[in-house]
Amino acid sequence: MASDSVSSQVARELFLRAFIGGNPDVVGDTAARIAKRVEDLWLPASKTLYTSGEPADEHFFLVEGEIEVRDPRGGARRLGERSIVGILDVMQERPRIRTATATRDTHLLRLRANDWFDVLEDDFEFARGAVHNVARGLTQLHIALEGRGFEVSKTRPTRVRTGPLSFVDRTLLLRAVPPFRRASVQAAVDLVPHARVRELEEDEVLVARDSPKKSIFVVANGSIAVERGGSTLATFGPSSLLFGLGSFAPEPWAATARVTGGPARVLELDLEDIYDAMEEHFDLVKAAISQLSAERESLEPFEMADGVTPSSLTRQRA
Amino acid sequence: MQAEQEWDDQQKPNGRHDGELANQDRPRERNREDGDTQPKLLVLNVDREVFGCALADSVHATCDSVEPARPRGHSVMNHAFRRLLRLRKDEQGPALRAFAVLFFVIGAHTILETARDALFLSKMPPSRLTVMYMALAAITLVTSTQLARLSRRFGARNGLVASLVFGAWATTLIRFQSQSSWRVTALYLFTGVLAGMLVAQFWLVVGRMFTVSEGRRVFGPIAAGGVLGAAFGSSLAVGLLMVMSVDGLLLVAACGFVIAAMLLTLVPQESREPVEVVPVGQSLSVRQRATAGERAYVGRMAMFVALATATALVADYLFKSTAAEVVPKERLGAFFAQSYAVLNVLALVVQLFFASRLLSRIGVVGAVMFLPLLMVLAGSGAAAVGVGLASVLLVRGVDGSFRHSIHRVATELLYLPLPSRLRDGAHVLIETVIARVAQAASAALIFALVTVGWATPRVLVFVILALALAWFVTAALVRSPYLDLFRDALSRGTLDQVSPDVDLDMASVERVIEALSSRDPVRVIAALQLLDQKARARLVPALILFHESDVVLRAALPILARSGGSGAWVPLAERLLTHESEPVRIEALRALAVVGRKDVIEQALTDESPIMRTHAVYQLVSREEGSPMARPLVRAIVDRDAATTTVEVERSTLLTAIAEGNDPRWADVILAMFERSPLEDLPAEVVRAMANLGDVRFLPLFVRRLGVREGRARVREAMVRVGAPAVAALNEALWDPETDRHVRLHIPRTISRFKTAETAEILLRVLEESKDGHLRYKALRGLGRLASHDGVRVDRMRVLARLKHNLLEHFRMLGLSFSLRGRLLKQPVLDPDAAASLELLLDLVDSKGAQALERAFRLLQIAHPRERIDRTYQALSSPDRRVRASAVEFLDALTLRRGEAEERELLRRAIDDPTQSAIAQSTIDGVVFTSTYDEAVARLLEDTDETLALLATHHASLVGARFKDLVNRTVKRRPSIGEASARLFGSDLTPEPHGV
Repeated sequence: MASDSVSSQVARELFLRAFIGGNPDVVGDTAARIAKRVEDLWLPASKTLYTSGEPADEHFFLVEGEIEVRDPRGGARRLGERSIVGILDVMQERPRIRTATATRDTHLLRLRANDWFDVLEDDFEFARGAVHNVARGLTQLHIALEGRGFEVSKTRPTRVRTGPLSFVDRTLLLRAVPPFRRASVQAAVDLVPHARVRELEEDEVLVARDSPKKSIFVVANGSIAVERGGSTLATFGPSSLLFGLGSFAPEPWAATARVTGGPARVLELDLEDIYDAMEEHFDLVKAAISQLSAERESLEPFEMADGVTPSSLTRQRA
Repeated sequence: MQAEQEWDDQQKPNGRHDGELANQDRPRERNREDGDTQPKLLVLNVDREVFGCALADSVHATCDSVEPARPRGHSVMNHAFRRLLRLRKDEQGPALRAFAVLFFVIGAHTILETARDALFLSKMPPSRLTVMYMALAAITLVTSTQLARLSRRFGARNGLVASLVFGAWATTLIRFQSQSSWRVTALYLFTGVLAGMLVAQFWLVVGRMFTVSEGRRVFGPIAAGGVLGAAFGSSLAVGLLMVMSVDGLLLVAACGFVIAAMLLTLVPQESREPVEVVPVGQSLSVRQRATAGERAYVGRMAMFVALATATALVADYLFKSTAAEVVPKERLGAFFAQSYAVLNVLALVVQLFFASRLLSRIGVVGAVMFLPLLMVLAGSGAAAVGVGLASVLLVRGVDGSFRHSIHRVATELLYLPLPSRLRDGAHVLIETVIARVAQAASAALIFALVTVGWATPRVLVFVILALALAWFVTAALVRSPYLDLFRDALSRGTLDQVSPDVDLDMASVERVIEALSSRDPVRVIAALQLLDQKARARLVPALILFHESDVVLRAALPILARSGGSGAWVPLAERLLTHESEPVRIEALRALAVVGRKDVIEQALTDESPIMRTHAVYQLVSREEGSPMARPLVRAIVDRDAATTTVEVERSTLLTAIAEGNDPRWADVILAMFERSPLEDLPAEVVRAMANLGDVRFLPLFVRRLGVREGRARVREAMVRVGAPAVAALNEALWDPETDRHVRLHIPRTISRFKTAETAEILLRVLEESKDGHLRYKALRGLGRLASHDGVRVDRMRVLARLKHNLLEHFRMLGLSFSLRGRLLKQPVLDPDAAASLELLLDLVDSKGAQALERAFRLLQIAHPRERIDRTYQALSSPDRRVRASAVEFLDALTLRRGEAEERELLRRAIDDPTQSAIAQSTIDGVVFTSTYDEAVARLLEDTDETLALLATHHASLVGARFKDLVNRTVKRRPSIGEASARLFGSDLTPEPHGV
């Protein structure tokens, strides 16, 4: 192998190690694996990286320089060093909806979508880390937006029977919410036996702020209000995932969830059971990251309007 | 019979038309709207099953015109015709037009050829043929370049129309010239050039109309048009010669060309293939534009066609020269006409009844070897029994029967994998120039043999034999570059090869050192870790210990200590013993302990921090001989009962120190600390410590800890370090019925880390014997990693057996899906609960079907570890029909190895069978996959998959009386189903006693 290509690969690995961070044992392997699959791409200033409507079969790690990502519907944001460009489209398996242009000479690392999914599938801990990171950013954004973002990310409520919930009812309920909606039915079917139905009284606290997070909740009947600092951030109705997909973040609950407007019923799923299902069904990992990306993207208009740009949110880290 | 009635019921729900049926499939459409990410292949298959959509259009496009999965009424004949010719509905029209064009082109040319041979041999001696062959080659060299230009300029179709019109005009012109040797010479040369041009142009047109996969189906029937045209032309010539002179045939041939040109205008001019854009001003030759693989392929193709042409020419000369000797001159015309007629009829029979099946059975690569092999056999036979008219007819008969049927089709298919930018040029170059050069060379050889008087039939037979042998070998050598072309096509847009692991060279070291001087801690740590991992820690400069970030200091100290460098860092580390951050002080202590600074350790024993003190204890005891448990300093920590915070901190710190050290003697300490604790509840640092020591005594714990996510990776590493005893322990746990399923599920992946043939055998056994589908999947993933990444050999035949099993499972699920789906549309409608349960059941069946296919591909990857089968699998879902076709063809060519015939056939059915819509209704290995709705439910109740059986039981119980007995029987025979049903559905399915 030529010396310059060895040097390039080492440089790529170096960059990716720094980019991914975390446990060196895990990072070392994953960074090395990704480094073997990425290609260098140098983009001169004012050149377009991709345009709206193109197929999204790759994404880019921004090593040096700056990329402006412009939405044809309005709005633009600039991404700097150690950002990932174009991953939202890749994860949602759709064509590009924005146009990305270099604002100055830019160095990127290009990773094909298939290779990216290979890495995720081969290393579940890395994949779980990716889910956590995006969910963490999402939670922070929801809090920063004081709950307004929940309205756009909530699923359309559907009627759930009030009698006992059978296996089919639970499966259908689970499949009504992201990420199970996009995952294979097998993942939901495997999870449902682990789901617990919890009957709740009015005003009962389902989760307290700062309590450790071990489960997620899907509302079957009734309403659950999410409160923080004395104000209600959002109310979740039937067939919605409490706290949205941010509930996949490993941190303690960022707000209190309390039953409101009469008794309620929720389906409770342990995160450990979900991780087990994800290990069994990679499509559930894909669906989770895809839906997280979609929810994150749906908050962009709020983010831009409010100028909410905490550094942890502007970087779409995997 | 029952199945037929059921099908009809499904196809005519409430008197709806077939077209409406597609719109009724609301659950599936809803899934699509929601962005269902289930593997597209299954959606494709099921759609095709139910609606009979063509493969090419059913992946992403909506089926505009749906056809029933089984023929009815007026479409029976059409369906039978398509089945016979293996055509799909959307291929029928273009194929029929191409068939008609070729019929007239070849028919007219055969008439022209009959007249030409008769006129030439009646005026000239056979030896003049050699001169004609050489002259033809020279003329073709000129015309072929113009031909390629013509096609590029005006399009392949218009070019062929022009050639046909020109052919008709020139033939008519020659007809009215006076009889002379010049006239027959001109006729011979013109006919030869025209034949090459028309055939090459025709296949260029057809090559743009179809993909490789389509080509395999339609080229045969289209080529049959040529064979039929030849038979018709020669028969017509025989008949016409009874009523007109040989000259009269020329006008008939001209009429044939005109008709062909008119029919050709019905073929659309537009290419369905995306045109590749060549940058302005960049006019590249074929050679310059081709990749190395493409050049190799074109080279072998050229050799293949040259040898095929040379063999044919020598065989033709042998035939004609023998005929000229044996048959009176005045009967030559009739003799040739009759001979060609017989040959063409033979070719037609081969084409209609054997070609497609043969092509399907042995694939393109096998088919190109078929004729050379037969020629070798025929030549050997002729050489063995002696050369006479019979043996000459045998050689010529073999050539004539297969050359224009299966051989032509297979050869044309060989061009299709070439990218469009190369295909036309390569096709024209090879089929005209190379073929003519080969003719000229063969003619020169014959001429030389004639000159020296060696052109006896026996010598010619040996020449044929030698050429055929070389041809056969070349055909065999085409396979490798042929597969490479598909590999290239499938990996285009992706990385062909994953870069190998690399070591650091000077340039990369410079980059890493540069990163070390960064102020950004993240970057510095990445560089430190990289140097450490690449065993270049000695390159870490001591000055790094002046870095402002605590995190960097903590990362750098252990690396410097391990580096064995100059020791320049030691004074700087001493300075850090008083650093404000305790973690930094600890790392400094540990680093200095590594280089033997006992004074520093002893000083730390009196530190006010219990953490520092405990680390000092660990370091001190580790330097002494004997068991650490015998040391009072250690016992003071281990034996103390008081659950004070300090004790907890000391214990935890000691475990951390043990975990970060690598001294197996400390295993006793861990066992002593936790002998009374439940092993599954041990904190992560304990597991980490145990994992680092890798003591054999920890194996039972390691196995059980596989069920716990935290620390699992370290446990796996520890087991790999333990080696063979760990494999034995894992294998035992794998088959022990007492092992928790959650633990068992993680055993295959752990086993796959050992990278030995023994572990491959264990995983293969899981695949074959385990009843747990998830466990089998884990074993499959592990085996895949062993075979593809680690190069461990796996018993291929056993893998293929599993592959077949999964493909059959795929078909079984398709059949069940097909049988169940219709019930959703049938009267009386199911009540909402029953309908909901059926939809869920269907989703699960579809998902299982897709899963079985995906697993089949994973197994194929194991059987072919050096191929990128994953890319091929992805390509099968590509929106680009040519990419899909490449994937199909690649798999077909790849699975030609011995022992793969059955699997190849099943794979083909799964991914590209034109009668895929009938898969669910067909029989494979005596298994019928479809049934009525009732039978499908009954089968699912018996299914070995508990979840499927459970959902089927639930559905059947909701439907009511119809399945009451079946449900009773199932619950009685499988109590677990009844229990699960009660638990999950709240339904009491206790079987009623008989007679009540």
